[in-house]
Amino acid sequence: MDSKKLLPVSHIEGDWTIGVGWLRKLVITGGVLNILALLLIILSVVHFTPLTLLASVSVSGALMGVAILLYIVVVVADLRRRGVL
Amino acid sequence: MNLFEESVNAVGNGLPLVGWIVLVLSVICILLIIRIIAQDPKKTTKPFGKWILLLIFFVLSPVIYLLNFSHAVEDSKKVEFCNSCHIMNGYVNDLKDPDSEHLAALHYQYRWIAHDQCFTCHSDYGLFGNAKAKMTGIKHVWAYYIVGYDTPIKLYNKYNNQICLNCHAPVLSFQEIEEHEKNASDILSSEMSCLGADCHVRTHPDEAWRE
Repeated sequence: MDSKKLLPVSHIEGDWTIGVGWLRKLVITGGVLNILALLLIILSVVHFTPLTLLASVSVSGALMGVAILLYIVVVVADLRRRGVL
Repeated sequence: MNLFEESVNAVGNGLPLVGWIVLVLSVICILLIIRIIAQDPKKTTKPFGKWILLLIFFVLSPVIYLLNFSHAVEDSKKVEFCNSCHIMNGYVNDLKDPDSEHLAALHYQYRWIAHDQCFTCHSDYGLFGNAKAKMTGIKHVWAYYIVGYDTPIKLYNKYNNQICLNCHAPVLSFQEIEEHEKNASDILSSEMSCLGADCHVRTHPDEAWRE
């Protein structure tokens, strides 16, 4: 049996190994956090008040930072699965 | 707002180019993220999504954040921004009152300071002055919305005369005034305030915070 057939389709095709299990959950979490951060920034641009300014600078910065960290984990895990790291 | 005032403010007030760039990029990023994470990974056939996400997470989002940050820093210098907190209404109303003889109002009415009058007089000059003013601003927002504040509101520290002197000191008519010459060192070190019964009038009405 071709061992490749045991792997998820996405892995065989070279795309998402993150299509599987916890990695995909991480990507979705990171994506949602990033979307929230971007929505806060949009809110601050269209309705500029001290509160939205603070939210867009501090809260969205923190959300974006966490999202980036999550995606770094995803990238590292992806590369390890592929045997690059 | 008066039509004339609006016409002047409109130059710097409408959504600037940076604001539009932030808006458009943000919307594009949100749509792409939703598109990529919503699709069934098993049906994905091209190694496209993760590169797009990589671009969004590591390049576009930080760029959007920084652009918004610079836009926010500039916009937060405006008088209208200060006036968006209720406690400031009395101060800004006095600023715009043509009959007011308070020092801040005179600077505003005669356009001795053309723009961002609150920020100009309440931040030290130079890069660190700006940064310090922004940090203090965050403290103000925190106090206004979360922990509360004492009234009447007052400055944290003694007012730094250098802010006045930055404009006035090089002018001969300022230098030649006897009181200025006599008290030069105290004025320069902010030991002696520019304001007071014998010197210059109050900057704002004492009861402005009540409005």
